[in-house]
This record gives sequence, C-alpha cells and structure tokens, in this order.
Amino acid sequence: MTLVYDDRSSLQGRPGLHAFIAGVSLYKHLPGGGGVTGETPFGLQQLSSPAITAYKLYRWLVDNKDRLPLPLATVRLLISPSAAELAKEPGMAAAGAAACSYDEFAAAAHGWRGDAGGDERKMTLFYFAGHGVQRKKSDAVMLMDDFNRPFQGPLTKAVDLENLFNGMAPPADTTKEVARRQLYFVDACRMVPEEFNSSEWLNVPDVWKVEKSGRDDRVAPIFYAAVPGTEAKALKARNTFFGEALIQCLDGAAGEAMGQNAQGETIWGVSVYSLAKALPAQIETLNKKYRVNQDWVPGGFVKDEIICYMKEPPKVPVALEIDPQDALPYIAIEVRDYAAGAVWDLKPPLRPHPYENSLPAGFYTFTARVTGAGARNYKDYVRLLKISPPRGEWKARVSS
Amino acid sequence: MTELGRMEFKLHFKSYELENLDVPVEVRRPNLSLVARTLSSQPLEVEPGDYFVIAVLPAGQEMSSFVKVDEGEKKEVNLSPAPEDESPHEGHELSHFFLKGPARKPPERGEEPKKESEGRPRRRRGRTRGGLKGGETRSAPSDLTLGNVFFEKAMNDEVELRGADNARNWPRLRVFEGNVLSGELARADHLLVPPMPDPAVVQIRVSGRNRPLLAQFLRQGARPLNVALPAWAEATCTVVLKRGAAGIADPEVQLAHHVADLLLRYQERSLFEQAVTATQSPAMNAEGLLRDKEGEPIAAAVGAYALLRLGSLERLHGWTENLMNWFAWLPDGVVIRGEHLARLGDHDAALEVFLRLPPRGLPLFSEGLSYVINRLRLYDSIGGEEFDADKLAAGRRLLAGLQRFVPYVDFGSPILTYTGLDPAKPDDAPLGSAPEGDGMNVGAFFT
Repeated sequence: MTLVYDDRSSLQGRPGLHAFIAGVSLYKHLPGGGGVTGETPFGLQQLSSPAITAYKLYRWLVDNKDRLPLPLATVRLLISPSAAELAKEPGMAAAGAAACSYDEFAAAAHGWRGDAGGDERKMTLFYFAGHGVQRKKSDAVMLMDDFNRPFQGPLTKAVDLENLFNGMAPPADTTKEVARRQLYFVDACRMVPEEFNSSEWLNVPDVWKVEKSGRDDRVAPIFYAAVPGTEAKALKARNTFFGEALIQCLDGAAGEAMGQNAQGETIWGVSVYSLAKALPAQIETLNKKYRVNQDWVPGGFVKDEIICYMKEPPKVPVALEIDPQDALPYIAIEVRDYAAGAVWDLKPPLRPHPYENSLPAGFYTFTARVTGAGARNYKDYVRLLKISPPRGEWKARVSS
Repeated sequence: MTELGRMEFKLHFKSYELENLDVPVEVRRPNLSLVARTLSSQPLEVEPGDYFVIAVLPAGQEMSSFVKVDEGEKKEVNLSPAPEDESPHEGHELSHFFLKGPARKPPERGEEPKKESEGRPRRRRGRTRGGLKGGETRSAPSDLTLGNVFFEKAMNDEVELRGADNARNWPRLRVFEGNVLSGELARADHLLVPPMPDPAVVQIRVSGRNRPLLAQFLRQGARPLNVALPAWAEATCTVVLKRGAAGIADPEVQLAHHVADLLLRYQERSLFEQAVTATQSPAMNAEGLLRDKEGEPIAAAVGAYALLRLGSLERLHGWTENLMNWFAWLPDGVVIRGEHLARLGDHDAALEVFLRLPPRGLPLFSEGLSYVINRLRLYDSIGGEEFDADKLAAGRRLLAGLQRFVPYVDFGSPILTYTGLDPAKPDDAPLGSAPEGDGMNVGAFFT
C-alpha cells in the first residue's frame, strides 16, 4: 500500500494538497541488502537515514495539516528502511507504506498525478531521499531500492527527476488541468560515478510518457540537497541533514511575517522564498555542528507560494557578544521589544559569553550600557535590529 | 479622511555608483507585518504610523532604519550600512556588497598560498578525463600560449612585485574571443585593462566586443578555470580577484550594469524576494534595455533569465524576440527565446530557435546552458512523432556538443564557469606548467 493518508472523500472535490514521499535506505541489490548483487553498483553502499527522514516528513505533514494552505488530501509514502531505522522508529513499520521499488514508485507516481489533475488550484509536494547519481548533464537520477538488480541495465531501476517534473507540466489540452503549485525536494547525492565516464549515455526508463506541454506557468521550485557532482549527507538512523534542515525550516526557522489579517494581527508563514532564504543558514548551522559540508541548490520555476502557516512568531536563536572582551565587567545589556518592554536585563559581567538565548521574531532595541568605575575606555552602544529566522547576532562594539 | 504620508529613500555609500543604485527595500510595521516591497528609487505612500525599512544587499549586509510618518508628511528614509559592514575602500564597494566572501588581509610575506582554489566550492570527481591519468597534469599547448608583452611591461614598470604569488608569476589571466562550440577561438588579452594595485582586491576591467568572450584563470597545480565575460562593444565587465587566507580566490565577474548585477547576485544567494523586486526597477525595464540596437543586451538577458526563473512569463512579451533578433552575436538571446517559447507551449518554434545556437556559441550564463540542454533532451525523448525528424536530429547533434561541457560546469555560478585548459575542449586536468609571460600576471597586482 502506498496511500497512507486519504482524505479525498471529505474534501468532496475541493482542491487539496497531494504529497508523494519516498525514502530508500535499504538497497536490496547492494552489498548488505540481502539480495543478489548486480554488475554495476557504482561503488554505492547501504544508507541508514533516508527512509526515516521520509517518514518524519510524512508525520510532519499529518501532524501539521491544519497549517497547510490547502487541506491535506492524500499522502503516498514509499519507504525501504534499514534495520537500524526500524529499531529507532517503530512507527515506520506500522505506517503501512510499501517499499520503494521502481514498480511501486511508478505506480504511486501515476496515482499521484491522477489526484493532482482536474483542478489547477490543487497543490502537490514531492520528496525523495536516497541514493542519487548524475549522468553527463545537469540531471538528477533517483535510485530505487531494486537498483543494481542482476541482469538489468545499470539504471533500469531509477527515476529521472526531469521526466517526473516534465510529466507534471500543464497539458497542451486546455480542457485538462493539473495542480499549478508543485513543490519538489530531492534529498539525494548528485555524484557522477566513475563508470559513467566510459558510457556515452545511460538510459533511465521513463515513469511516464511526456507530451508537449501547454503554457507552463507552474509554481514549481525544486530544492536539491546536493549541488551537481556532490554528496548529500546524513546522520545514521536519525535523518539526512537536508531533511532535518527542511523540517526545522517548516517548523519556524523559515518563518516570516507576511501581511496582517483584518484584526491587525501579523500572519506568519513559510513560503518558497522564505524557505530558499533560510535553508542555507540552517544547513550551515548543521554543517558547523557536525563538521560536514552539505550544500543545496534551487532549481525549477522559483515562484513564491505559501508552503505552510504558523500560529505564532517563530522563536529565533540570538547570540550577543561584547567587543572587546575586556569590557565585560563594565557592560550591562538591555533588550527591549517595540512595545518598550524590557525582555532581557542582563547585569555585568555577561555570562556566558557570547550569551545565547532566543526571542520571538520582531524588532528589538539592543543597548550595551557602560556601568561602574574604570570604564572610561568604553561607550554605550545601541542598535535597533530586526530579529528574524534563522538566527540573530549582535556584537556590541563598545570601544570608545 | 486620513492623508497618506510619503517615504523617500536615500542610500548612503562611499561611491557614486552605489549611492545611485536602485536597491530593493522592505517596509514593515513594528509587528513585522509586511507593508510593501519596493525600490529605493520609488517613493512610497503609507498610512501615518511607525515603520521599519530594511534593505538587504547581496553579500548579506542589512541596512535598516526606523521611521515615524505623520499624516501628509514627506519623510526621507536614510539607509546606510552599519559601521562594521562598511567597505574599507570606496573603490571596492561594489564587490564588497555584491560578491560572496569578504576580502581578507594579505598573508605575511613569504607565506605560501594554497594551490587549490577557494571561494566557491569546486566539485571533485574521483576520476580524470580527456585521456589523463590521476596525478597527471597538462601544460599549455603552444597554440594557446601567445605571450603578452604589453602586460608584462606595464606591470613591471608600474608595480613593485611582492609576495609569494608574484615571485612565481601566478596566477595568470588570459582572454579568448569567439565560439567555443565551433572551436573558432582567438586570444584577446589586449581587452584586459591593467588594474590598480591593491593589497586585497584587484579589479580588472575587460573591454567588450560583439562576440562572446571568455577569461581563463591559470594557477599552477589547479584546474584552469574558464569564465564567460558578459561584456559587449558598448559595455565592459570587471573580473574581481580577492586575496583570502589561502591565497587568491577564484575570479568573479561583475557586470557593468549594476542593477542587472544586483539581480544576478540576489538569485545566486537565493534572495528571491529581492530578486523579484529588482526586476521591477526602471533600470530593468524591457523598453529601456532593448531600445532597438542601442540597448543593454547583457542586462536584458539577465532580466529575461530572471523572469523565466521566477515564472513571470506575462512580463516577457516581445522582450525575448527582440533580444534574439537585435543582438545576433549574443548566444543567450537564442536560448532565452527558445525557453520562452517552450514555456508558452510552442515547442516546435522553440526547437527551431534552439537550433540557431551553434553559430553564436555557448551561452554566457549557466542558466542558459541548463535551459537548452533540458529542452533538447526533452524533445529527443518526446520523439519524431511530435517533431520534424530533421530538426530533431539537428537538436541531437547540438545536444551532444553542449553535453561535452556540462560535467565541468559550475552550475552554482550564475555566469558560465567551467574547467579546461583548452576552452573548446573542457576537462578537469590540473595545470602543470605554462610558459612564463603568458597572459596577465594578476598576482603582481596584489601589493
């Protein structure tokens, strides 16, 4: 079964969001996968985090369905988890998802496209995590769990993202419609295996026949976890870095104040553009934390669109630093919000230094005030700052 | 009835170019809700109240100002970089606020710069190409090693040579003009204008031609880097080299049209809100950029690419057709027109247009190369039932020619950048040696 969430009946024809989520950790025909190994493994190994990351994204969608711009209509979930992931997240086994073989993927893709059709107001979300390779062009090929099956072509159990993307284009027949808001997330390597050098072109079977499209004015951004020629990174049995950054962004790290409602209250949300702005910073934070070098790159048609709303302003991590450090015994810190309320009142010396805490997104006045005797060499330092995700930083330069 | 107030924005920079730049500006209420996204050149009418005005520059610096606007009041909003964000030098402002990494202090005298490039990450592959085995390097072939006496003389006369880079005559910069697709290339180092010496940032202006130009950056032991030069007969571009902690970073290229450059950099940094606003600048208006043959074709190409990428098809109108027809030397005109037609659903016309690319050469912008390759692949997969068989066959040949470059292209860079000592035969072999005196010794300009 792939359709793990289905609320179409209650929508009664109204447009909804249709998600297609796939994650492959266990590759049956790679070493350690339990199946017979084929001739062209491209040096790839088993993975331990894509399936659990895909599952987490599915759970995020279901748990946050009231924050989505359209009702959650369907979720198709395909996961091929490792034993470590199943041990870590027993809910995966109970989710009822099918394994992410090529045939299951192709069938799910057709079902997904069918659901996305008939009304241009519908919305889709696609996410794939697993091995990916790149041929001699700027493409992204996603490898299914039966990749490297014996007696098959090297990429017969693989899906070309471009074929998937082009097949979702608005049809030339104007009587047919398809969702015009389509979000794509590809959390896979885009390495060029050594073997590709000796082959002129390795064919990937089409998931569907692509026809000439009509006017293609889709909102259709593609968020790639890895730039062409690089690897996507992961934490064993926990999550991929890109997946973690993505969920953190949806949880608020990409939150942004939009307009305001009739009551004058700020509307908070995550949009394509706020996500594109926040992802690099979020990924950079993870890179520093785990000393890796994950990267990402946007593709597709990068038009703005709301991805999800937020019920309140996001909490933003803020770091305060006094420069020079010698001034620490003499500097008090006061942080006020716009309503002139003091939110932080920190006596000297500032400890720990740098001081780290969080604030709801907003405008704040930061004051570093010189106090006490022996502080002649320093001066007050005041700044008005917009504190917004993914983080705020302030260095009080108090040298006179 | 409440009379609206009016905000007028004033930028405060050190240089004339930036003071007069049209920068995207965000106006927000104290509760952070968005009032408007506009441009610094455009006055904004607002309800009386308190507002925060924020402008983000492509390199990440933020300028902000709090303003209280009373009923009917005209208020000047002053925006300037925070003191700690200021450019250390007026002449470096454009690169300081537009390009990614800040320049660093020069290394101590005698400190060895690393051979590998820094700046944007270079992709690594566990293999070599072009018949070279691992560890093997390539020397500059004789047909690509025309010396440049003028620059050697200019530099030796005017610049005191210092530091490890200079002592070894690296790195070097060469220019090619012509069509890399057909292989018809000629050296054009004379288009490089000798720069002012500087300890941290060297900016080399390149005179344009109505032909595609390519800069080649050579560093011993590193892969030769080819970067398209978006210049033409009426406009220069600037190659910017910054000294970092590990030596001189990879070159970056800035356009003469500052708003187009701004637009390009916002997209590079994924600041799409700012990019959308920048496309609305009067300086990026299609009528202004495409005034018959006296327009700004490079800026027009950047604008058209942005509108395609940001999905604003309705704003392209006749833009793409004029760009293709009026600037017959510009490869990007063909690609942009072809992609536009494809997005409109006219795929037969799109294929015909793409087939006009070979005489013009490779697009100057990476986006263009992606577009043409993706479309030709798609049309090939759709097949002869839907397209004229001869045109499809010609498309296949063109695709094969373009795909030779793709493995070596840095698609993270908006301006076409790829590796290979022979620009017409891309590869990833590192450079072993090059004859002394070939091209401009740019290391000599870092004082």
